[in-house]
Amino acid sequence: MMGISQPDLDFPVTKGTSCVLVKESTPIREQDCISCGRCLEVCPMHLMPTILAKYAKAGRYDDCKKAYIDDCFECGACAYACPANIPIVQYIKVAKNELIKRAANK
Amino acid sequence: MPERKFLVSPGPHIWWGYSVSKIMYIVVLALMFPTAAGVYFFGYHALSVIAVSVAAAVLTEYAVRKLRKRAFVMDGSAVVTGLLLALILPPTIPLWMAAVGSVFSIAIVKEAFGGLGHNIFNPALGGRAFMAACYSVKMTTWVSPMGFGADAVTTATPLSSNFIWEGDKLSLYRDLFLGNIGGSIGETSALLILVGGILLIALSIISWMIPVAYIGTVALLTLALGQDAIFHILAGGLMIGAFFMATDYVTSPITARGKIIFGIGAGILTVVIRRFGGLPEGVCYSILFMNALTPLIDRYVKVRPYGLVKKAKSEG
Repeated sequence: MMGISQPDLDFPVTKGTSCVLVKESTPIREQDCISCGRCLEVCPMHLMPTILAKYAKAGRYDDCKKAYIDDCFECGACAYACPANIPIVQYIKVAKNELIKRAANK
Repeated sequence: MPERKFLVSPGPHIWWGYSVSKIMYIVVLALMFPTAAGVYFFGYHALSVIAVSVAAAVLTEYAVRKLRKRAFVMDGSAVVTGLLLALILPPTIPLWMAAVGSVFSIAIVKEAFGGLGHNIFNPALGGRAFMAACYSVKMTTWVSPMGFGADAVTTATPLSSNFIWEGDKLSLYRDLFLGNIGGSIGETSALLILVGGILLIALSIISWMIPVAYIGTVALLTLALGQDAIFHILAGGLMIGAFFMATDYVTSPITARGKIIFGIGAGILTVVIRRFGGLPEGVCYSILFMNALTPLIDRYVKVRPYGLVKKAKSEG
């Protein structure tokens, strides 16, 4: 489920490749969070994914860090479970990259 | 450069399949049980109140979304609000009052705060509180169940001080449980609310924490105060409040511990209002009060990340 997306077919299938998936694209519309708490229930690290996504969306990356964003291992269960179709783990990835960039620039 | 044929996006690429609107329509389905009881006991007028309330809610949602220049999505949340509001109104309420309450619920309590996901208070309860302030006489006129066709007889609800029950306790419990008693349209039948509520818990739409904490607290406190606990659980709006109002996603805490605190707080307030307050029923205001506390609960009650050890104070 959390494999790496490939933009084209020029990619070798190596020993470590367990499968290649091509899915029909289903564009989804992101809705507002309704605070149902499903992402909290499914998070294996007991984080608060919806809070992380809200901070990431608002660019509050320091607050992400305080909310233990580094403990997230990007399993994607939160985005899978979200009834409002919020790409939670994708927001978290963006925030993490931003935090890494900032740390490198220091 | 090869032609782009794929939409490339980061994973996950599959979803659980429960959208917000699907959840809302499951709630509507579960609400059909208390609705059926209300129509059975209070007849055609109850049915028209429900229809007017739902229609007014959906139309208002459409109008306000258009005014706010936002896309209108038929996500079912307006249907849930309209239906819930109708279920907590007295069966004799004039239709225009139900419509006004419904408009207030959607336009002010829900959309003025930013729409689904941003409202602080439960829209249906907010609408009811508004109506209780505006039309206090009509909002406290109760009739005994008359079914279809029979004349309405004004009566007192079980919780009011001038309620007199002729008969033994067991028959009172039976009528309270089945719903053959005066009260709001949808709150009379504890049995059918329980069926709907358990359906929602079984489908994991709502969690058990809030109803169990809420009803449990009311039971324990009334016992401690020397009251009839079974009576207090079955009478009034506690059942529909605990299963359908307090569990509203938007206005209740997101953590499991927060939900239990929410339930206990609402339970304490309900008993305090019923026992010591000036009103016969406290479910509506106790849940609204806890709605106001929800952001605070969410701020201070957090989950502990897996494996995190509490830092020593000197480090922090």
